[in-house]
Amino acid sequence: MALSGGLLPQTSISLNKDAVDVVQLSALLAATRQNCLQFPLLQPDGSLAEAAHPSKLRLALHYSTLVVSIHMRGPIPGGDYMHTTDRKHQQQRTPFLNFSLGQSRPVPRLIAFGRATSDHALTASIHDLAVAPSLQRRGFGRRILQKLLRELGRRGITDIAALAAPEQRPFFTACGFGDDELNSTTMLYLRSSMTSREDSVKRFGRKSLVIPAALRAMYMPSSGQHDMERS
Amino acid sequence: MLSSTVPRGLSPHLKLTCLQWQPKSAPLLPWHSHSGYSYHQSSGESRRRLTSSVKFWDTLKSGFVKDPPTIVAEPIQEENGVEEPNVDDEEPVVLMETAQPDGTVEKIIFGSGEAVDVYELEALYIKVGWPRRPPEKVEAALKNSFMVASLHLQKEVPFEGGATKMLKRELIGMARATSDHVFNATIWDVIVDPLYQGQGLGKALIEQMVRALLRRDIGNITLFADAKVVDFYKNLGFEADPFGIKGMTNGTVYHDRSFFNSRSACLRVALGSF
Repeated sequence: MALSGGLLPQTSISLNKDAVDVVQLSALLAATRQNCLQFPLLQPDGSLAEAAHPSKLRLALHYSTLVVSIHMRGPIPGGDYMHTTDRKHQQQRTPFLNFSLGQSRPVPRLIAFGRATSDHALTASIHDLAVAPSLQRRGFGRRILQKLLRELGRRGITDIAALAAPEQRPFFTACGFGDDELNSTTMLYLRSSMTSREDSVKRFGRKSLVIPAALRAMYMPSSGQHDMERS
Repeated sequence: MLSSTVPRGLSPHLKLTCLQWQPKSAPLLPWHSHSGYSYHQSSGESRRRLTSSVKFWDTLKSGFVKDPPTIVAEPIQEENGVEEPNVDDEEPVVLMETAQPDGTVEKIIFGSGEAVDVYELEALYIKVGWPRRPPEKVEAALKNSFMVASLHLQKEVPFEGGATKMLKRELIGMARATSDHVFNATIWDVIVDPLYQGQGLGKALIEQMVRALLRRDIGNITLFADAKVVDFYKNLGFEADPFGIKGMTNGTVYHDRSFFNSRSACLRVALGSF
């Protein structure tokens, strides 16, 4: 599929679940600060404490209704989201791609991803949209979402929901999503460990870091108060 | 709707026994999260050992410590696509048992894997005023839901020797959840027969469902609640728009948000009392 500008290496979009390498997926999600949890734990420097485990991802993909991925042949402009050592390890694991036709072919790089779960009849939810950080704002996210919507529509599912943090709302609005027509309130289950009195939660925007009591003095010197507490 | 103004259908001289609830496991405290342990069907001894060696803080530390010992047991992964055990591995639970004056016994039974008859469900929709939906779609939706929890009212005649003869069995409540079996779950279509509302049955439905999901370590549980029932879910541990996360939708919306009563909304408009 040619892209506007034509300067990017060739990309291809696919609905094939098997085309997604779960190790790349875990890295892509981690690069976009996601690990499939609604409230991922962050390290003090803002990066993920724990990335999504590839085997869990494989299961989740298996049980998702639709999986859309965009791969790129060739190096990712602007820098890869995976470390060189991890990528080399990848290349060794898929030797069959390196049979020589004069040059070795690189492993296709996953650059954008999205998936949907549904009951195959009435409703569907969009999860885990991610685009490689160096390739954002070029329309890849929109293409993933539109592919998902079109494919779901083809299967007769018209009620599609997505959870959006405040900073993601403009993206979804631009893709045709709106506030719930029935004015339903979105409610998420919060495990009480999030708000236990033993520790406090420090917010980094939408993400939150659980700080155990012992370290509280270091990270929240000002307060003996709890940052987020359900009264 | 779960308001207390709905007239109770039970006659006044019935004696209600206490809620007989035998949860399958100990109360699920957050730091006893059974991450993946339920899948380890190795010897019971090793399973106990696994459970006792992980504490809540260990799971936190694993994110910070450089070379954490592998403490979280992963669910047994299928390279060959072996099916996971289904959620309906739990026995039906008798929530309430009442003796009727005519000698029969009425039981309210919660089940999580029992088949729900689509036409019984449709009858229930009509009772609460939801619009009808194509039965084949409802059937497909139920079949492809991760978990379908149901409440049945069973009327029995007890005989000596402990045997009972079932007289009738009807569906009085249901809730279902869709999921990717690992991370996310959404609860849809929570419905309780108006005659039996106000007794904590809806609460029981949701609590059992959430417990089953948490046992599988599915932590992202979402639902879309009508304004009238937001408080009901708040009492069950749900929070509205936490951190500003809101649901957005695309396309025609099925009227299957929890407890939405569309017919009453129309009536209100017609009578002008809006």
